[in-house]
Amino acid sequence: MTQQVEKDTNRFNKIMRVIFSAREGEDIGCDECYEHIDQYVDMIRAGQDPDMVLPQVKDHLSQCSCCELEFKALITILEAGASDDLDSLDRPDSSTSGDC
Amino acid sequence: MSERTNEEWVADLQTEGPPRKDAIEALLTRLERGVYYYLSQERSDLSDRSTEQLHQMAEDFAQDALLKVLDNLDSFRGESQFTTWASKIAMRVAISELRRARFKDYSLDYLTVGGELMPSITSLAISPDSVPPPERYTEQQDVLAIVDEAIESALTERQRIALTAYAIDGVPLEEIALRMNTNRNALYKLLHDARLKLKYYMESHGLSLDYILDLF
Repeated sequence: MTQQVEKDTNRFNKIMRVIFSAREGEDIGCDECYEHIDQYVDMIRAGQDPDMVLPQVKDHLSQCSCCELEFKALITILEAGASDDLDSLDRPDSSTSGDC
Repeated sequence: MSERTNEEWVADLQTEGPPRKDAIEALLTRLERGVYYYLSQERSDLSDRSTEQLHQMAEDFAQDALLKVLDNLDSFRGESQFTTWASKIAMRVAISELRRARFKDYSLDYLTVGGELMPSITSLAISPDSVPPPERYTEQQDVLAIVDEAIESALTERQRIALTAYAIDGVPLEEIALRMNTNRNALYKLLHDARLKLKYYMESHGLSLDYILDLF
């Protein structure tokens, strides 16, 4: 497979995943997700299950790659900000451009 | 010093004198450290930056975030830890600033009316190096035709442009929204509707994600 064909195939598969991941039903949207994301993160860090209290946030995060990326960035910033020893933190599995 | 409570953070930041200075310093240190770690560990697009440059960026973003925190103290409802709320603001500042710089020259203009959503997709099945068996090739062409039909018949022009920029070019929602004179929330809903329409169209023609991924 040539590089161009492989690239085109990857792009095609990517858009198919984006399309087929759409689900029917109420979606709170990005603004409301942002409103609650700090509360959601706190519950996770406290070992609680935020999906019981804020299931709509979980649903949105599973649908919106931008908000999911922001959610992960928030956890990183929060944990590093609270740490006196950055070397002791778990490194992320992979890095991204950070855009979504 | 032990961690401040939410009430203490707000009170210290709203007062005058040494408690405010201490609180600002503590918050700034925390935000800067967190943002620096994020920039240095999670941003592959910044891998060519020196440690000093990343520290400078983190300092600038943390300063901007601090100003927003102070300006919006009244809107903190106490539903999370104060530092989580402040970190959320710092996260948005950092991501927004980086995104703005990265996409400053991006334009949607080339996505003209009537243009193809996936211009090179039609060449997917005809690689000279790996020509598929005839039956598979025909099957691929059939699927591509359905995808084209779906895009042509199910999407509005705005949906097609937005979906192309988002799913193909990987442009962030905020940047697309800015260029389409809308906002991120409305654009997300526009895209969500577009995705659902395409999904239902393709499903009604017997296509599933697993089948498509397997075929290509």
